[in-house]
Amino acid sequence: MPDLNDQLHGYHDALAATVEPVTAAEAMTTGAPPSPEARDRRARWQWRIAAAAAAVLVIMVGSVAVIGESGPMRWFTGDEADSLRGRTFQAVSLTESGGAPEPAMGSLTFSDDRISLNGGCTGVNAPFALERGRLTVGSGTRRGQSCDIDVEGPERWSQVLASANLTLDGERLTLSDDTITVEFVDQSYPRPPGTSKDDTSTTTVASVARPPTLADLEGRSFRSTSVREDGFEKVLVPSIDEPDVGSPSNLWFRMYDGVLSASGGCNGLSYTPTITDGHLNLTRGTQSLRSCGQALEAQDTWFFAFLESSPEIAIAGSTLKLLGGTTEVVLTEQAPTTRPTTSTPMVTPPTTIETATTDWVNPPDDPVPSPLVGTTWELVRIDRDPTAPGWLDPTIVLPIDVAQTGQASPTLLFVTEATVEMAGIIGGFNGCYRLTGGYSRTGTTLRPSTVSLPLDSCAPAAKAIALALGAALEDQQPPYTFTIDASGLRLESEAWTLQFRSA
Amino acid sequence: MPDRDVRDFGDWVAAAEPRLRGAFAGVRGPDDARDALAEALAYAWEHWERVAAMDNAVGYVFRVGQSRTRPRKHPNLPEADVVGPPDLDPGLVPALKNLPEQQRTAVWLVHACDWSQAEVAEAMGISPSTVSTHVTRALAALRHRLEVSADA
Repeated sequence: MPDLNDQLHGYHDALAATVEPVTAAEAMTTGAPPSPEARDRRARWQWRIAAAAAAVLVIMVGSVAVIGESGPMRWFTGDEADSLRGRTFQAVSLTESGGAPEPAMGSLTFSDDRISLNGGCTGVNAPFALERGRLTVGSGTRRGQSCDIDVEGPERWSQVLASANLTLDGERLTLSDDTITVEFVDQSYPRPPGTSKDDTSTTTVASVARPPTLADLEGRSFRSTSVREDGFEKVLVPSIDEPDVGSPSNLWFRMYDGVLSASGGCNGLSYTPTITDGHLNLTRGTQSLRSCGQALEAQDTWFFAFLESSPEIAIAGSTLKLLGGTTEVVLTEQAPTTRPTTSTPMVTPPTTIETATTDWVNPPDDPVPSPLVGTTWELVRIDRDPTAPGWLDPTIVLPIDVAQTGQASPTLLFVTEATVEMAGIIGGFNGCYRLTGGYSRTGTTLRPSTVSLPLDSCAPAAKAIALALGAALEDQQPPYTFTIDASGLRLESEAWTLQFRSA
Repeated sequence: MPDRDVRDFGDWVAAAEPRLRGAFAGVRGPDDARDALAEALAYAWEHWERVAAMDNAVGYVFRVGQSRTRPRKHPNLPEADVVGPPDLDPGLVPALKNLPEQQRTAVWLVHACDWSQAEVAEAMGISPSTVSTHVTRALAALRHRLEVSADA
């Protein structure tokens, strides 16, 4: 048997040979066409959708024959279905043919006699029947014919469950057929009194609750519990800070000191709000600039556009509704969390946060130190306890006093606060490349995470500093304790000591 | 676009494409590798002036390909007897699949694709020391599972 290296090479060569090359000409035509596999996958799902539609049609025709004398078309909705009505279930996991469970995406909402099924790109709004645990879905409106690759896998249950076995155990609902078992959890939201249970898309907000004043919103924080478009529950991309697949709690907004901050799951945006004739009008302020991937960034864009479309706004107790066009967002007030200690919202970028009164460790009689968040911190010195456990690139010689190297100081910037709701963002510039990442914080304990510090095109001396800083901010480091005084910011962990000064 | 750029890009693709193809084949699996490869090369062309000036353009565009396409939870790596040479250990593919993603990517790029640690660091957006750690742990795990000699 060849040694491990040879085996890896052998497998590499064989594997690479199975992938069709991409030519320069293809790349120059703004990307090569999808691979045959991707085309096949899409075709397969389109076929499944067609097959599911045909199955639904057959079931519907058969059922009409059975209940043909019962007057207007109405599917069986006996007592068995009572426990489902008015409830929304979010898909959690999908297990196919005895395989391992995978994350699933999508939702099922049951109204009096209809089921709204949303897989993310496909959807069905149709009558349903439940008899002896067997769920059948009748003819109704459908949307979506092909799925983007982002949702194709996690939502594949939605095309094959035209007829499935259903079990309900408290908050958990399971649907299964011969090939797939899908687990759901109840995500029903409390509805304001008077709200229709089965078609919220046609309910005007103003008819069920009163428009709030800005004073009603002040100091309150809301999270989405339901988002509907065209009557369908919209499946949200999980927030970067809350990786639960299918979690509906990705959109939030809150208002402090007259500034409304909102997020679609990735970046935050601050607004100056007014409410006129029951409509929320927003003037855009500042926005954080996190990179969270195409899907989440698109969700941010969608949510911000929705908020900026002057939606109707109404409040009933702790439930807030926004309605614009055929989109309805229901948000529920969150239990009071730590109020941002800055007078500027968390999402405000550093250029405007400098005047904020963010918390700091403020020694008596010293000049006012800079806040942790929003200050550009320049690295002064970096050192590591040589006896500390762990491995360090031997080319890094410590301590480094940056001033003595003649290189520009790398900077570190805590772009946003780390709160209960959201991890903080850090950025910086090391003289040759930008640093990006996140951090979490509890009191004066701070832990960097997913810090990326590419080293392309760095001069050797700058690279050594950047390497050291990158190593200090790597994941799985013991947490740092930070202190700020007039001399600057000091980060200390078991191994590392980093001294920064305010730029 | 000047002809010179087109020629330069063509030359660069001729050298970089096989390296990227092998890298994506193992990291994403052959089913998804071409999409990532196409995204990476399309980006390189769109930003050719900047990419051409990079010391480690291959590592950089690899990362672009990674970020522009959605990974499966586990890459669909075919079993050895489906694609591999006849003397491939049948336990290799399961052992690779069993590795954490970072370790699998690092060991694949370093030992299967023969990328330098600096290239891999750029490609993964981590420091070379972390690459080294991932590779060491990955090799140890592979050897443990395959019970092969430690001379790889």
